Amino acid sequence: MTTINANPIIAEIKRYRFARLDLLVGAMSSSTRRDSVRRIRRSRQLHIVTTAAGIEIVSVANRKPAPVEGIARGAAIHSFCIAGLRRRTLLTTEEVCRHFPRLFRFGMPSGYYVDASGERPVLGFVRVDTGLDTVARIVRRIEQLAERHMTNAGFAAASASRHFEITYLVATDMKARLINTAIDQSQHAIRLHVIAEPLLLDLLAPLNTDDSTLTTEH
Amino acid sequence: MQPNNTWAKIDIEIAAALACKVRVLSAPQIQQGWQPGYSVKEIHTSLSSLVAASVLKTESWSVIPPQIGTQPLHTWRPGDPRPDTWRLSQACRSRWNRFPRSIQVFQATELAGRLFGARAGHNTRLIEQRHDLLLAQVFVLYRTLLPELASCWIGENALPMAERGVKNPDAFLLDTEGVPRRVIESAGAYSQTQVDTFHEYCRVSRLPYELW
Repeated sequence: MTTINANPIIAEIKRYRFARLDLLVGAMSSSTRRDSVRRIRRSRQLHIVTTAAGIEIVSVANRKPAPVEGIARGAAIHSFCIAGLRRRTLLTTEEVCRHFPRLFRFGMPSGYYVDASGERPVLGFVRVDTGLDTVARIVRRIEQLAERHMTNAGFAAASASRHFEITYLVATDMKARLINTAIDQSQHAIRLHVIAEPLLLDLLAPLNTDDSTLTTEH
Repeated sequence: MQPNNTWAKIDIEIAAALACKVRVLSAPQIQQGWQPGYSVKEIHTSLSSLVAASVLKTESWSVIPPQIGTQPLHTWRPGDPRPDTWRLSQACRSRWNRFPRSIQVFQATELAGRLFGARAGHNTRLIEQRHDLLLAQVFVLYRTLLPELASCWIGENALPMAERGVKNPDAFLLDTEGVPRRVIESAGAYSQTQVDTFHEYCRVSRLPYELW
C-alpha cells in the first residue's frame, strides 16, 4: 500500500470529504505538484472520481460508493472555499465548538465556514442545491435558515455586526439571479448570498450519453 | 455529430434561453440567434448534447411560421393615449393567412427548469404554438440587434406564478435590481378583448410595453 507523505492534503480531503484534485495541489510549485498528484493517484487510502468535464475529485476510500449528490455537495463547498480569491475554510464540528463556544449546540449541521479575507473574520453557513429545487422552495429554505439562526443570541449578535452570512450554492448564474431577485434582503438582518458553482452542472446534469456520470480510478 | 461531454458556454446559453426566456425556439430561430457567435456545427453539436442529456426535447410542429418586422405592432408608455385595440386586433389576426409548414422545434425539459430556476417541461397546446414561436422570433431579434437587452429578458416561466385569473405578460426586461422596465407581449392572433385586458394590466401597473 502506498502511503502519501502529504498530511495537509489528507487533512483537507477529510475536512471537505470530497475535494477537487486541481485545487488540492494548486498552490504548490510545479515539481511538488507533479509528485503529489502521482502519490495521490497511487494511494489506496484515497479514491478518485472524474467528472464528465474531466475534473478529478478525491475522497478517502470507502467500501460504499458515495451518491453523486454527496460528491456534488462536498466538491462544490471545496470549490467555493478554495477556488476564489477569498480565504474561506470549512469548519469541523470540533472547531465550531472550540472557536465559537457561544454558537455551538449539539446536533448542529455541518456547513459552517470562516471567511478570513477581511479585517475581521466572518462566519458563514453554506448549503448546496443538490436536489435541484425550485426557486420558491430555495427562497423558503433560506428564509427558514435565517429565522432559525436569528433565534440564537450569538448568531443574532454576529448578524447585527455583519459577521454572519448564509450562502446557497446553485448550479447556474440564472438560477442564482432569480433567487437573489426573489429574496427580500431588507427583511433579513443576516447577509444572504446565492452563488453559482458551475461544477454542479457537470455533476448533476452531465452532458454525456453514457450511463455513468462519473468514472472511478480505484 | 458527436455530443459534448461538458457544459460549454453555448450549451448554457441555449438551455437558459429555453428554460427562462422563451418556451420554444425553432431550429432556424436558433441558427439565426446564435450564428453571430457560433458556427453551424457548434450549434448542432450543442443541441444534440442537450437533447441526449434530456435537458431539451425536440419535436416537429405543423404551424404557420411567424413573420414580424423589426418594429412592434404597438408600443405604449404610462401617459400615452389608449391604443385603438380593435385596429390592433385586426392587424394581429390578418397575419396568419398562410399555409402551415413542418418546423423542428426545441423546448426545455423539467430538468432544464430545475437547473436554471424556471417552470419548464409542460406540453404546448396547439393554440399556443403560433403565439410562442412569435415571441421566440422577437427574442431572437433582441438577441441579434440588442444583445444587452436580451440578457435582461425574463420569460413568464421564470417569474412567480400569477394569482388565479390573472395572466402574466409573456416577458419582462428587468434591470439589475430585478425591477421590470418593459413588458414584451406576443399578440399572436389576439381578439380585441385580449388586447384590452393586456393594455389594462400594463396601464394599472404603469408598465411600458411592446405588443408584437
